[in-house]
Amino acid sequence: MSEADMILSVENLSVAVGKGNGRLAVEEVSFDIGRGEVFGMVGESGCGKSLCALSIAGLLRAPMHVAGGEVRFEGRDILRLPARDMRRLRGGRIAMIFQEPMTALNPLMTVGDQIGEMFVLHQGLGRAEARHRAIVALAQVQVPSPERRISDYPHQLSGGMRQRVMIAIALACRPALLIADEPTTALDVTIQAEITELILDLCRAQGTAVLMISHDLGHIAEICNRVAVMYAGRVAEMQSGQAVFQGPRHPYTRALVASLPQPGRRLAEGRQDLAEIKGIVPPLGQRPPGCQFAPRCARAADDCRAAVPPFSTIPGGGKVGCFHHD
Amino acid sequence: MPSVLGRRLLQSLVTLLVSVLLVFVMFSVIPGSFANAIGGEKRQISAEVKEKLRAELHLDEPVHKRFAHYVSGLVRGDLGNSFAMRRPVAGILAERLLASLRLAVAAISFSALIGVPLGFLAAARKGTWIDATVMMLAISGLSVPAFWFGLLAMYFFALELRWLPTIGYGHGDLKHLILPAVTLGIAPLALIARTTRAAVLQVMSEDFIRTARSKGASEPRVAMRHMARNAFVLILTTIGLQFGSMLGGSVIVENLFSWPGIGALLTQSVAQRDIPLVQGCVLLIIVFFLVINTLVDLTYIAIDPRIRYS
Amino acid sequence: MRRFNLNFGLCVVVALVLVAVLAPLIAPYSPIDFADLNNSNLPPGGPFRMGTDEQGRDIYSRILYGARISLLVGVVVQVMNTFVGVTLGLTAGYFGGWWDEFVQGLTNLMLAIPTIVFALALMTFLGPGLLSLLIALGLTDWAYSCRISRAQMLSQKAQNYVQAARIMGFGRAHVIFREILPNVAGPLVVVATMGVGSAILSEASLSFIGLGVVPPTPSWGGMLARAREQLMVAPWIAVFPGLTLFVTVLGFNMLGDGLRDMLDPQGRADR
Repeated sequence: MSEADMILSVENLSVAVGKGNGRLAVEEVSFDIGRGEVFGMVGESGCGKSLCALSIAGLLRAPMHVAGGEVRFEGRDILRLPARDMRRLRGGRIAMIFQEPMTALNPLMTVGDQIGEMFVLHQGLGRAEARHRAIVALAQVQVPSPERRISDYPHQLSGGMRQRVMIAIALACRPALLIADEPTTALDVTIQAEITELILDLCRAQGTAVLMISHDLGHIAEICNRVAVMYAGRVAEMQSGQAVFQGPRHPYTRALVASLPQPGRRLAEGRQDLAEIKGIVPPLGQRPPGCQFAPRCARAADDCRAAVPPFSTIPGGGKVGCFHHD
Repeated sequence: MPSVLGRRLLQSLVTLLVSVLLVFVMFSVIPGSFANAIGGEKRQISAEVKEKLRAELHLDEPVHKRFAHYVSGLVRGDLGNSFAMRRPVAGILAERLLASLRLAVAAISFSALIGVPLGFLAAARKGTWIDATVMMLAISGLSVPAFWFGLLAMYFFALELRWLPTIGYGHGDLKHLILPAVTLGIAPLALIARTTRAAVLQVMSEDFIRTARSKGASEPRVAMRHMARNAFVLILTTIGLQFGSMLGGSVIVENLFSWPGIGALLTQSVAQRDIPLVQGCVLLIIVFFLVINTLVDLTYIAIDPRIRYS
Repeated sequence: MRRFNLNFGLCVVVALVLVAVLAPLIAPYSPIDFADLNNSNLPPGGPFRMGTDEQGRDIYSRILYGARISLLVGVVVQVMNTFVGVTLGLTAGYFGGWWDEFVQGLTNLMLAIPTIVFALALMTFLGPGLLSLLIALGLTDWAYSCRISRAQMLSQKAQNYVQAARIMGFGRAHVIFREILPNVAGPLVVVATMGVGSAILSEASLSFIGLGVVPPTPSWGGMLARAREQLMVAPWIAVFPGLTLFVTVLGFNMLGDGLRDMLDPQGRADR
């Protein structure tokens, strides 16, 4: 990918918890996202994917802090940017939507004011004009009767509606990058697909790149151009969406794919136990010195336990961090 | 919204009626020594005066009739006559009410204007020595006996420095108001500071604050537009309740500074066992609290859309 | 911060109890009898460590003896209040219905009236003196313990162990007092601790305005009332009794705060 097409470049990002840089929740994560690309980040709870997202958006709060690495957005190192400049980027060029729509909106402000705030903050519009644009934004996220909904308060809306409002807020100023941290996990299954489609459609239309974070590998693999699989704070494997699913290289990814229940398989092959990955994710502070996955890996050998495996390039694009990958 | 409003007002009305009943039960149904109490312990009153009092207070009539007399009197504004002062209770109360109100307003203004910013400060600097100091001051403020603080303040500012008068009302001007108001306001100030700090910290940990930051809003904007309004809803209740309790809570302070208000009147009438006057004071104190409480709730309804549109 | 609260509070409470119990042994002079008008209003120093009051009595001794009154009132009043509050709260929560409504209304009303006002009203009939004081204060500050008991009762009532006990045939009273009450104990202790401090302050306030403990019995509040009269000539009389009162109440409040922190392990937002 050429420099001009790359809007986000993360290099060896590390995030620590507590004083000093002793306990690393995220360790030397590197990836990049191209203009308009849909990039997925998958992993179990606690693998550090949300922390990566918050670091990029500059929303880390104590006791979490960046312990090392570089994040370049449109060429600039944003980790070292002065707060005022970062604020201008946030919302305007880098937007974020979160997992829990029920609590993400200010209960005492109308939906219109909250969307309109984006225009006031980043485009210097007055209240009337901002309100007008908010109605347009609501219509874009397919909220019916937007001119009436504008005056509603969040508690009058369902979870799905509130998430649409969040999307409207995030995309109001046509950012270059949208970070979506598990945007549908807390929603009804019936509308999850709708919301995901909405996000992808709008971003495609606006040319906005998406960093889609999820714990659902199958789903992510389907919708993303490229996917990074995370385990215990590190990147295990990174490939195109299709390849990750159909040709996983890292033992962890393999195990993940194998453990997904497949509709129809039982009918075809008879009843089987779901494959599971034995063991548990090492908690923070108890991470083994070498490869994080070694304790649970069928192929683990001495070299795995001795040192963290470096990345090898996969023919066809992508990388994998394993001594014994496929 | 009208239904929420209506329901709240109805609730207040019911509480008011129950209060009236309670006051009546407390003061008119206590058996036996009623007539004896009139005379006090030392004085002996003649049988015919006793008789007259019995008739005037309807003591020989059944309870429900007495209650009816009482309520009809209330509605007409007649709270009976004071034994000691031989004047209508209502009149005496009216004379003293303004002084107490002045004191209460001054005290709560002092408490809120200093307590709220202190609470904000402590929350903003949570974990630092500033926070610890403010909290230490708060718990001290809640523990310090108001009359001791008042005495010391009186000594310093009035007797030593001679900046302020020691006691008295003096037409209710500022000079006379300062010491009593500050003394009365210390404990509420501490409570308001603590509540503000807790409210701010709670609101700041909510998700929508993170959303506001993700929009690129500056910290001052997040604090003012997003946090403040949400926190005020919690702070307002405390301020309101403290103010509502001040009419009765000023008993000690009014005594200390010879402030001619309802609190001092209450003390006086208890010492003299002037039952109608005590009754009147207690009723007034309760009513004042109920009125303020209702106003606070109504404000809530006006500010919080979740209640309005539920 | 929490450890400091606890430690400071405990020290104060222990000190108070010790002083109250050992007063006759440590006080250099009798608080009532050793009164020589020649010694009146002496400043601190010499044989009278904290000075003397207008009757020539040693303030230090009177403060030590005053601790007895404060402790007595504090504990007795709080025990009464807790008893009333817990009984009302538990039964209201358990039985529900009109009794619950009534208790709730009553509780709201009690919270509306400042403690001192209600106590004063009761004392109109009871007259001045220590006994009336105890009764009046003991019947007016039960609202919080009632609320807590009721809330606990409501949340525990539906729990399985309660139903199990009933199924096993235990009577209602047993269930209420033997099964549920222990669970209420924690928050109750916090409320009770701070209640003692509050009761001590109330007694002092009432004595200050002349409706509490009758002189010459030494009471910190009463001493401050005398101090007021002597403020111009002997201001030190105001300092020591008040300081003792302040530290005592502060100690109980901090102990209560410390206990509350201890019982609430998950740091809530305000800690």
